[in-house]
Amino acid sequence: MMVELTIDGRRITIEKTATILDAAGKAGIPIPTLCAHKDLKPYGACMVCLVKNDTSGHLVPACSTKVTQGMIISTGTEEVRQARSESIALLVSEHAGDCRAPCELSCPAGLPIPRFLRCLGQGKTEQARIICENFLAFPLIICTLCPKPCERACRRGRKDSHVQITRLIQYLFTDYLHPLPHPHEYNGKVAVIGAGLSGLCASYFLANSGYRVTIIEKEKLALPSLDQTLNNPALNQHTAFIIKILTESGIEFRFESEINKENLEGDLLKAFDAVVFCTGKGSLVSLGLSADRNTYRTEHEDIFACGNAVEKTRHPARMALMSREVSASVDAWLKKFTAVVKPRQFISRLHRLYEYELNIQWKDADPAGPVPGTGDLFTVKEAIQEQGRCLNCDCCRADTCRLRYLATHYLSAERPFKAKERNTFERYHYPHGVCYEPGKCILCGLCVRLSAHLGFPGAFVFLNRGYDTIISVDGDALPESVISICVGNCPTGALYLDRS
Amino acid sequence: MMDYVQRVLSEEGGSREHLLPILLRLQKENNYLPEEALKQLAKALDIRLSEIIGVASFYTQFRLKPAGRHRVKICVGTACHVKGAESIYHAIKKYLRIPDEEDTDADKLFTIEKAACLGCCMLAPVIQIDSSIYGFLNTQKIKPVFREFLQQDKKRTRRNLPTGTQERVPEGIIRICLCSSCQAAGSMDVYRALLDEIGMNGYEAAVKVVGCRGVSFKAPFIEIVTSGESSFFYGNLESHDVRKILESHFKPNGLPAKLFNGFTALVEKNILGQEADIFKHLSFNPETGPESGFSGSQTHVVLEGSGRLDPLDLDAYRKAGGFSALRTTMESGDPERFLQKLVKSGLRGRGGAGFPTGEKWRLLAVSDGREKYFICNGDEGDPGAFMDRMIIESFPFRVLEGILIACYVLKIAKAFIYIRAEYEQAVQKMKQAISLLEQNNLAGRKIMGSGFSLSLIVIEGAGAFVCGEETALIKSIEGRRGMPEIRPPYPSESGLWGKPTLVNNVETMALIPWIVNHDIDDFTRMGTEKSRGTKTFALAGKIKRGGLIEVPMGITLRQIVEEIGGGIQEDKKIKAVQIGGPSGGCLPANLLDTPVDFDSLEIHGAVMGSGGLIVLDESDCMVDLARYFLSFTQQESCGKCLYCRTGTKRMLELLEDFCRGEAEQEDMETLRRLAVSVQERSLCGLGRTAPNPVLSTLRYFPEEYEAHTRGICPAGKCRDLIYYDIDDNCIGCTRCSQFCPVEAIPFNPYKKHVINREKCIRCDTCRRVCPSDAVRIRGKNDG
Repeated sequence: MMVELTIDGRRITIEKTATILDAAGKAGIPIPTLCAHKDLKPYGACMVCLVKNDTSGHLVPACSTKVTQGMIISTGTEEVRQARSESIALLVSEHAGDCRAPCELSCPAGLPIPRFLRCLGQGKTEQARIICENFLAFPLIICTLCPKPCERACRRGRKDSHVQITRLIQYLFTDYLHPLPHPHEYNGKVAVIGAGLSGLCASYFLANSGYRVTIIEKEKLALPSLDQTLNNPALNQHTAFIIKILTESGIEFRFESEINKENLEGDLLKAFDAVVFCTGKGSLVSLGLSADRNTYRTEHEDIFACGNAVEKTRHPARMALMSREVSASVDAWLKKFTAVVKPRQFISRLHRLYEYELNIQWKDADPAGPVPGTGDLFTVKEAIQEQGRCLNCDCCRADTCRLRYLATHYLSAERPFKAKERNTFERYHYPHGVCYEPGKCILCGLCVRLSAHLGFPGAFVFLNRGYDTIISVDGDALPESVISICVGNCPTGALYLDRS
Repeated sequence: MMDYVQRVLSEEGGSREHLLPILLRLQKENNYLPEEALKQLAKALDIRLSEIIGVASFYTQFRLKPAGRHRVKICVGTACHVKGAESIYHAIKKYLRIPDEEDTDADKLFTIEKAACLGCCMLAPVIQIDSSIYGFLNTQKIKPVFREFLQQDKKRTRRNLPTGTQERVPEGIIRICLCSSCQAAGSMDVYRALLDEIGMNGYEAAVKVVGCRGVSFKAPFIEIVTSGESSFFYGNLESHDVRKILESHFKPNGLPAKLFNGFTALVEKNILGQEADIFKHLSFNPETGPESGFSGSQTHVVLEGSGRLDPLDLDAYRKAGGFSALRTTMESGDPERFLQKLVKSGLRGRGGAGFPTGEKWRLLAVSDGREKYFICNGDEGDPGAFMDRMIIESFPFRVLEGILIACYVLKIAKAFIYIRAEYEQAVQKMKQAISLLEQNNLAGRKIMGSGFSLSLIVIEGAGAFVCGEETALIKSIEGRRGMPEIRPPYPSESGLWGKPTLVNNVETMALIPWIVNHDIDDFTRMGTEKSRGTKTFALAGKIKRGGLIEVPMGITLRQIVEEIGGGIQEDKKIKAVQIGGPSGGCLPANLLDTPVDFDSLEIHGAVMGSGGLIVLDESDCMVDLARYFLSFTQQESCGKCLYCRTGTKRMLELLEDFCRGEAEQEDMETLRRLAVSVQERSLCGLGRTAPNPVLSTLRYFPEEYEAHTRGICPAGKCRDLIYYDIDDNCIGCTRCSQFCPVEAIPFNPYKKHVINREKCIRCDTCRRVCPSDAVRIRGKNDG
């Protein structure tokens, strides 16, 4: 038997046994869900799929409400949004976990430190380097100059001493820079004014995105200010090495050439598709321009600005971030697409850990103190050993977490229902490398129901009752495939396979 | 261990569905669930150990850690809560020297825990040690209670209780109720004293254990019926009162006893000067005396014959017309006509939601052909409600007859009676009643020689309030975690093991025989148009006369409070009536003229619920009460759906802020908004009704919430907003010091006592025991 219903003004014909969620899916109308699964019976736990039944006037969960003839449903109204947002706020209020580790949150460039460290520890050195370069362009320079808030934020510091992140960066990048691409055809030509830190970084990112870059500097060398203020031979040596690589990669350096209104408008803007000012604020102002902090654009559509020209900062990692963003902005402009303004990602934080919580994280890491290292640079073995001290505070599903996605889209900055006291952090280790953090669990029951559905009832079970419910895993004679399905379907980072 | 587990399996049933009875048995015999036994059990049932632990951890009856030899349950139900259960808890902990984080004493003799409600609300505060209940406690009584328990424990192992039946034709009958409530008040001691006295003096008297009259405010009491005379009632008895009472009604048999009695009477009269005038304050007459109001406004249908019938005397039940309804139904051979009558009677389920019973039965009558089940829901878990327990303990046959009729009409061959494991006596009585029926061909195969067979199975609930919800109840009977399912499908379509299942409340079942035996008009005459018949209530709180009552629907709350309840204790002012327990609401004094029926109550934001009715006076704080009820539902939430699990938790935190005086004005609106969301979006009835106490108090007592935001608790109840102080009226009697459960008042004879504010837990004990009214409650902000 078929019935006809209307969702958001669209008529849908579907079997009588279907749910509103099925009908919406058929019509391509998105409805967020957390506890629903196509192979399982409706469960009705998370209440993020609320829709308005205009016929009855009630808000109903789409996943478990059967369709009826003539039903009129709306999914996009403010009321529905408000209700879903309330559900998500409640879920978030009982969600105890860190989306990102304290070290990466403190890094102005947002380098995913635990992630690159894990690559390093697993011997994937190349991957570790790529992650760092993608965020910092020249990690060795940036991190050496940086006041290192990451190391101060490192939780390990409360136990013995922070993980030596800078030394690990030095291990990875001394005498090393990933060569830049050599495209047959460039996406365009960009002039970067200023060979300071942000100029070099912006050039790097632009070149990486396939632009032919020319750096114009009024002094006679790159990183002129660094050379004067820092007496660091190793760094100077590295700078020379970088310039060499950049030149070999096709980046042109024009030293001792000044920019003024005439040559800017006369030559540069004609010869180049875009000009990026990585100078002090003065040179931009003298041209009668100012820069927008968010888009890095100026009043002139082909002129962009970055670094101190936009915002006074001495923080090298902050410059790296701005360079990355200006390069993306230039790229978007030249390719004629509007840069998608991503909403600010929701971030769940534990903030300060209780002593016993810290001990749980510590217990899972190498208990030894900081590796002294035999020389200035770590050996492979020493680097891996030092990485083993990382507490892996970040969430393994930070980028795929469905709760985080929904929280980003549905929650406003102000959260209506805050827990008086956050739930505590705990981590259970079950057989087959299954890890479980009850604080992050939203009790959607997917793992429990899927394991039963796959013929292994009791492999994943609920323990306790009410607010204290957690998941327990019995790994006895449990095939890997079942584990990976049950763990893989976890909508948050509550269930995961051991990362080390 | 393997042999032991095998034995349990062979006795309780050896498959997955018997998991709960097996676990309950293991729990009872070991006082906890030994891991080794669970491992063997998992092997034998061919399921994973984690599944067993998952089920066990859902129910509060089970412990996975070893416990002491005896289990002490301290009732923190509504009535006990308002009468100081918290101080009893602290005092017991102190008496047994149990450290803060632990629950068992060093000798591993007692394990203490808080219990939601033991269903003895008029005797509050109460505790239960193993199966013995002790009521009217105060902190001074803790020591004697534990001493007595240990003495009785020794005796229990030596002798069994004699039964009260005698062979000779007696001169008179002494009726006594031994239901849990009356036992908590000490009726077992009175019963023993009666038997001892009768045995010693050879009185021609028979002691008969009867169903409860519900007059808990007089418990323990006896009724003496001698030939040709009317009844004599004696209430609030203690065992030493028994001798005198018996002497005045019966002649001793045998010379020595006569001489002895004559002598003691002489001594007491002339030397001790004690006239036998104890009767004056002990005797009462429920029909004509000043207490007659209690029964005057009641109409007994479910409770018909209360106080006269021996609950387990099948012949007596039959003589009183029992099983005639079943016979009529079976002989008429026309189930359809019966269904019509049921629909016409307008009977609505007494479990709380008030779904029309006839319509529910119709749904089952239609889905013919498949196997069907019946479940009688006796999982009465609301704090403050004890109707189902009293009905089962006093009228097990009436309930069973109702079930038999239902199963006959709907062609059901298997019926489950689900009773909370906490109600031990009810479980025992029901099991005995079933076996009596089986012996008399009223249950089992080919009932009364017909083709109708019915197996009756008692299932013990293992401690989860949510199992009162029908889909959770079904899961629990299947031996799983009692987590509700989305409806539809309704149990009538897909219930127990996916088969059509009828779920009805105990009280509904007890009404069925009466409806069959009477004309429809007799039933519809009682009650209102949409709520027919009578309803039982557990009347408790700050009233003079509480107990189990049964009234026609439509009676006003005022009649219940004033006529039946006899008004407020200590002649204070009534503030509100809490009706329906944690799912219900508080109606303020100005709504006392609201008729009690399903719909009128709902209009005012309360619900009938299963029928707890607690009267509150001006010293009760409505915010604290809302917090209390919500903390109950929050703890009982199964944790499945978000709004019930987390929404109630957030609400509770807000209420706790109010009680601590830390809430802001706008928190009232946040609380109200969240409450409405929880009400609308929870999966089952538990979550949907959980906000009722909060919403109704916000609606009728907003000024109390507002006062709390200013740090004032008008009732002087919220601990963090008050302190206790002793004024110059103090006579230095030291009572407060002796009763204080936390030693916050130094012992200082003949001098003015002082309360240590740091140590004081504001349990109110000192104020209640003070003979000179010297203890004052003062607001935190007062000077």
